[in-house]
Amino acid sequence: MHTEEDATVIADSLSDPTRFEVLLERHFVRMLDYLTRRVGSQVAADLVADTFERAFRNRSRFANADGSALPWLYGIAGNLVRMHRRTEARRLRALAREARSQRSAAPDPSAADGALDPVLLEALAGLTQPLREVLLLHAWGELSNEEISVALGLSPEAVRTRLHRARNRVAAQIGLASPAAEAPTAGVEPQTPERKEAM
Amino acid sequence: MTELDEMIRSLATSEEVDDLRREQLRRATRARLYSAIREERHGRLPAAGRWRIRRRLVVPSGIAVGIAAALAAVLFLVPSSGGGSGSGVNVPGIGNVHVPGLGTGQAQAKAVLAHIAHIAATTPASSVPSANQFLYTQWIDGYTGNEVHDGHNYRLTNGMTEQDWEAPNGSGRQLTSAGFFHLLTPGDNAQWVAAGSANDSGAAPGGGIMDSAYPKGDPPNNCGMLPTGPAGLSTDPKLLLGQIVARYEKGSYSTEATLDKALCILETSAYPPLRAATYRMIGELPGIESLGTMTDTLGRIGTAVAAPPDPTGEQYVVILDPTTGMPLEQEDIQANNNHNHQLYFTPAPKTEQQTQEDATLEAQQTLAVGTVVDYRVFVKSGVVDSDTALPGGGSVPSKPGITHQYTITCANVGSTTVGMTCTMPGAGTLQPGGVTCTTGTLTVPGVGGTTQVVCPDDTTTTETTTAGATTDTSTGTVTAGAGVATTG
Repeated sequence: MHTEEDATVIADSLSDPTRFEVLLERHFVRMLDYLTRRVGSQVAADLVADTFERAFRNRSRFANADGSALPWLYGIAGNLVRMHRRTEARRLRALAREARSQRSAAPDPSAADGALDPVLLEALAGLTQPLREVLLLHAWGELSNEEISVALGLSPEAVRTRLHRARNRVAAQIGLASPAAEAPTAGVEPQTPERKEAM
Repeated sequence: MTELDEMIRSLATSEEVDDLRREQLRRATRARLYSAIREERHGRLPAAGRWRIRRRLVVPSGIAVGIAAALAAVLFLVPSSGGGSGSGVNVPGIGNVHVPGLGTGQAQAKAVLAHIAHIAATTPASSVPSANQFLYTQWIDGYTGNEVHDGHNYRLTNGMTEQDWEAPNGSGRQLTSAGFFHLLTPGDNAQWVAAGSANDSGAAPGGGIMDSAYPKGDPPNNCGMLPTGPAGLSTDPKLLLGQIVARYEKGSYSTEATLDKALCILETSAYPPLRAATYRMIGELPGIESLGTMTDTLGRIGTAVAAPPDPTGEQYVVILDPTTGMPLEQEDIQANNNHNHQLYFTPAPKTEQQTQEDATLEAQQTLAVGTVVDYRVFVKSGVVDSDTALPGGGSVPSKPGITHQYTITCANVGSTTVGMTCTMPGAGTLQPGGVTCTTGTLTVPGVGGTTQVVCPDDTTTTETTTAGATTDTSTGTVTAGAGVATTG
């Protein structure tokens, strides 16, 4: 927890713009890491600067008076990533191909790099942009549903629905039993996911 | 966090950014921030809402290791800024929008597009679905890639067919077929045949059929939010450009991005004056050029216009039917020899002695100018009466229903009757041509009994359980594979 709320820093920056640098120092690493995962280091280098510049220019619109600026920054970053959606999808597919090549070339395929799962990468690439946005804000941005709601300007219910739908679509494609946790229907019992044999 | 979330979280999709590189980027970002602060202090920036020309951030490159060797081979599309001094457009309801280099499109491209605009303006829109119909579009998405089979490295083009049925309210169905591939060069083909395969094509590994419904406001592409009716976007090319820049591109303007959005309009049943304005707008984009006559992947002959090549040497090209103006194909082409460490695939080393770095370098230098590295072919479109129908006749199977198992738990009864209705989200009724779902009553055999319910994906259900003196109503959303629900 920071000693001074983001909202206070932003409010102060309206009269003293240099105060905005506090936010940059506070959230830069997290935004850079997130953008790097989304679009790779080369594009992320540009987008992280774009994110903070756009946030600065639009700081008077910051509305989360009681909370962190992170969801707001993720929302701005997401808008920028959207402009690179083709880059992101093809990057995921290229990584999937790379993973397949590694597995084909490995003497023992089971020992290939498990951190590059080609089926999962292709499933993510195949998601529609709105669903991928919510899923990756949750998994990579580590935002709660409420924070995603702030970031994207959606209702919390819409976030839950999209997250549920995104998980189901990915799970179906990779052969994972449907993840029922956090389903939008009250009373749905979570299941223990079981991974089927990889294709 | 579910197991799936953990799997996604642990994906190593990016190389480690080391501390030195991170500090370089932090300093560059700080410099950008202070530049903005200085502009604000000196009054060079109008009120919030002004958009600027995208600038490239120039920072020293670090040398990544490990997985970076693979990632370095991934092609990153970086939109070009286009250049030009720019001018302002006053967009009603938005205000002054800065659009860079307006009017700097090349003369030949302008002439070609003006001719097509004239045709579009006088051609009635033929594909406008009514309330109970769908606009069907079909296209093939593909890219140049690389696969290793039996120790051999093949360069090939991958593709998959996508079909979309979109209702007037923006909801619809998307069906993606299993992928296919074709080997890219005669050398690859010869090697493939020599390895024992008779054909130069086949089913792409890892492909699968995806059949999904999307509700209003959740389109499968970035085009769904574009209003293409008479009350939507302006038919003045300059105002149209201002609207697109202001609403959809924000601070990341580029000729390529605008062309991409323009395609969204041209793919649809936009009414003729808007189509005509779109062609004229394209002709005004900074650096837009005519590439003359080109043949698309399906062998159709068209006229091509293109955005300026990006720093990697890749160029965004659109092939148009010169007689109707309809898009035939969008391609990304390796346009020059500025390969600049950008490849869309990771080549396998040819020998045990060749390093991955050398293999990548060799492939960069040998990727022929003119190679289509990514393409999207517009196959056909038309208005149909259901989300299983195809233009000109024929059909595809309905989206299969999803079987859900409900465990009904009730006390003090020997049997339970469950009344169930299913409605699609949003409109509250089944969509036109949509799949049906189980309605009526279901009898559960006893206390804690189980029954099967079949509903379409993404369906809202209302269940009323009557059990002796106990009546219970629960409402929930059924999603594909949602699993076990308990009512009682």
